[in-house]
Amino acid sequence: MTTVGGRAPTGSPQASSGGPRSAAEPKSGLAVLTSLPRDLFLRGKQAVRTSPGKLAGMLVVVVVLSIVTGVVGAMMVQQKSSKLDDIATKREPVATAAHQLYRALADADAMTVSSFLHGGQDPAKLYARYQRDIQRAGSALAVVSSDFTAGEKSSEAARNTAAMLRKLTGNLPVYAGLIERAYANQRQGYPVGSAYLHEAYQLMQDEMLLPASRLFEAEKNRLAAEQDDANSFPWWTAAFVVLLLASLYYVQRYLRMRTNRSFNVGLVVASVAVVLGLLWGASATIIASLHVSTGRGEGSKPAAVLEQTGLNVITGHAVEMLALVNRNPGSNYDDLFQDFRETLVGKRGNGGLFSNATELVAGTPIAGEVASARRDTQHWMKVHDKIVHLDNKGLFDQAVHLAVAQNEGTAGTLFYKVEDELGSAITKARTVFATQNSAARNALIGLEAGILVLAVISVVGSAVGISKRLQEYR
Amino acid sequence: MRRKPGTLLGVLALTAAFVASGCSSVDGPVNLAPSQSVHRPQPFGVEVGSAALKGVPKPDTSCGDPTVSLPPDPDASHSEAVTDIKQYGKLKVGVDNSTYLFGFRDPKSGNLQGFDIGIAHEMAKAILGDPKKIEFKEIDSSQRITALQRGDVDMVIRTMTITCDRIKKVAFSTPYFAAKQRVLVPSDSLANGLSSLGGKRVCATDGSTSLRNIAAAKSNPVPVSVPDWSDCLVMLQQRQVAAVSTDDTILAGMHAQDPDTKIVGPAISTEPYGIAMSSDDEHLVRFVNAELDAMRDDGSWQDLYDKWIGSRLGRKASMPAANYKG
Repeated sequence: MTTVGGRAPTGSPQASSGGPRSAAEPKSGLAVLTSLPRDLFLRGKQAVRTSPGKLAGMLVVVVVLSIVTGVVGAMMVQQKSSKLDDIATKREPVATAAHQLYRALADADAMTVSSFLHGGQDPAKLYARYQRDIQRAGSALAVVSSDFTAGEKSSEAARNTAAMLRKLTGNLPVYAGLIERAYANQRQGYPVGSAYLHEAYQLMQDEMLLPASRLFEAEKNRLAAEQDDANSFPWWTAAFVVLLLASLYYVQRYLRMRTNRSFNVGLVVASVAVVLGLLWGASATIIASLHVSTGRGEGSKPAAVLEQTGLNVITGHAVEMLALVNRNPGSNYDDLFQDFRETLVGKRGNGGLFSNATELVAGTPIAGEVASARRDTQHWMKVHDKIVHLDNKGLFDQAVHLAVAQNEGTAGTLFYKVEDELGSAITKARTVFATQNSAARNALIGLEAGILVLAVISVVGSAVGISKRLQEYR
Repeated sequence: MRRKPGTLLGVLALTAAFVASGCSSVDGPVNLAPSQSVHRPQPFGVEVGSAALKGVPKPDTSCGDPTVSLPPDPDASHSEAVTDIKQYGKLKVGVDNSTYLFGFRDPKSGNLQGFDIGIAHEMAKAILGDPKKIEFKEIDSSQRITALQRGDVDMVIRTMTITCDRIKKVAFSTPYFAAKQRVLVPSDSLANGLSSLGGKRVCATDGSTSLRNIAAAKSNPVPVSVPDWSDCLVMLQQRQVAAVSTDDTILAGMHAQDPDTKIVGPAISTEPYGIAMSSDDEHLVRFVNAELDAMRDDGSWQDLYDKWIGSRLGRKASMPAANYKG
């Protein structure tokens, strides 16, 4: 045995007692640890020069690879399922809450602007819808905030999110206070009520809708990233499975050449177990990722486009109202409305977000809703042209009536209809997403345990198979 | 015994690692909800200090008495300016929609009402024979002159003071009302006029003569400008300004909406209101002056005054005397 360290024996009593290491010199605990890999390597190098040593080495490699592959595979499955759970129970609902927050604020804003106008609308209905919006915004804000844990505060993005949440939480009650003040004054016939409404409108535009839209974008991106992540290819597991299969094959070929026996039952069992694990794991993860892709393509992706469409519909409605409320010469609200029109249905009425959405949902159960929402929006745009025409002819009262009255075919009625249709389409798309996501989750059921059991079979099979051959050398 | 240094070293290393990773030092209380500066909402388009004085008419007495207008001429109804209006079928009038008692929307009916609106209806009746043949354009105070110059409106009836500066750009009728600029403060305020508001924020609408008078006050109050008079009341109620200073008529409208305020101090200036028209429409000015004269005589001016202002302002008034050119 070689002396590790190279210093002369010190002649201490322990030096004479047997054993490779103590024979040389007494070493501190740390030195033993640092020299251990080198010792093992040197000893192993010597051992594999002999046939039994070589076999023993193979045994070690196959057993270790089986264990590692089993553990890595099981961890992969466990991570995939917990990610799918996280997407279904957290990311998607939080992204939806962020959308709900933005939508509720934008809708409250549109209701506020409408209440500046007088033309046959029901103020009680407007107020009820405003109240619903504020309550929805509040509960959605609570959901998004509670998802935002203090531990995330270190990153720049997280700090921005925190700032936006603070802004929204701080301004929501202030906004509601201004609106109530406006109503209280309006009830008494005081024009200062309109001034309060105006102030509230400004607060919403400057301090609330912008952070809400950023939050909405951020949550949408987080969901997409997590879906990508859940569908990522398990490179590590695949690599270990290939290595394990290759080493099993190598051991069996070696034994066949040495012993002239074609089969080693233990190793065959181990190989079958590994191949089974590979087939099961591959098919389960492929099925799961197909479900995730379908859930995304027919669920969360159309839902996101429809959400975007709905937000543009609401803002377009608010701008249409605003064009009638704010009648200062030189104001450009109609130009602004034309921008929304282009975003929604394109320049010629057959493009824009609605055509994106139609393509995305073609052949899915929500195609009908999207088609009728699109039709009603196109109708609304025609009514809008009539409103502008009436207004330009100086028939302001008729223009306002066509914009906000409660009878069928007015811009306001069509807006509410489109909003409802989009809302139910979004709910349906979310249902598709949830169904597919849980199908993906179900495809992975039992796989984690199965991989571990098969790994154990592989360990036991190869151990038994190889050690039988080893015994022949004794 | 000899292994002890090693063990000790290991223990030390472990302890060091634990200390380094486990505990970050906490020197003071952890504040998860830092107090942030409160965002105080304010009306759109608020300007403070020198920025508020943009577009304010310069003190200008070069024209002598600005209220001198063209002599009345009832036959001007055959002139081009008047027949144009008849052809259109409606009188386009630039008005206010938020100044209580003068020009405001009744929040219940949605109709425009007030003293100025009443004058506008009288003018429509005189020109077109029907007080309802009218197209109101709701404009900010800063848009009064541009709306006339661009031809968006035939006339502006919007608590507009006749000044030397303005008669260079537009033509005015004879004054139809004489207001006095005073100061509105919260009931609990100790201020008794602009003189005791030095360094305090005082509100008026942008481009108004009131703003000029605030800036000219010896006590140096800080002028704050807003688009509408109602915005001044909002800022006063939210305690973002210490006072509002403008014509007592407008202040009376604010006091009517918020009894927890009071009008204080001496009259800072007299503000003659005129109907503004395009400088090109000389015949229209003559026609309007004739109609104002008629309103003085038949008592319809007094009726309007009594209906909207009299009781609330607590002072009797009659239509100011007319001074004609030539």
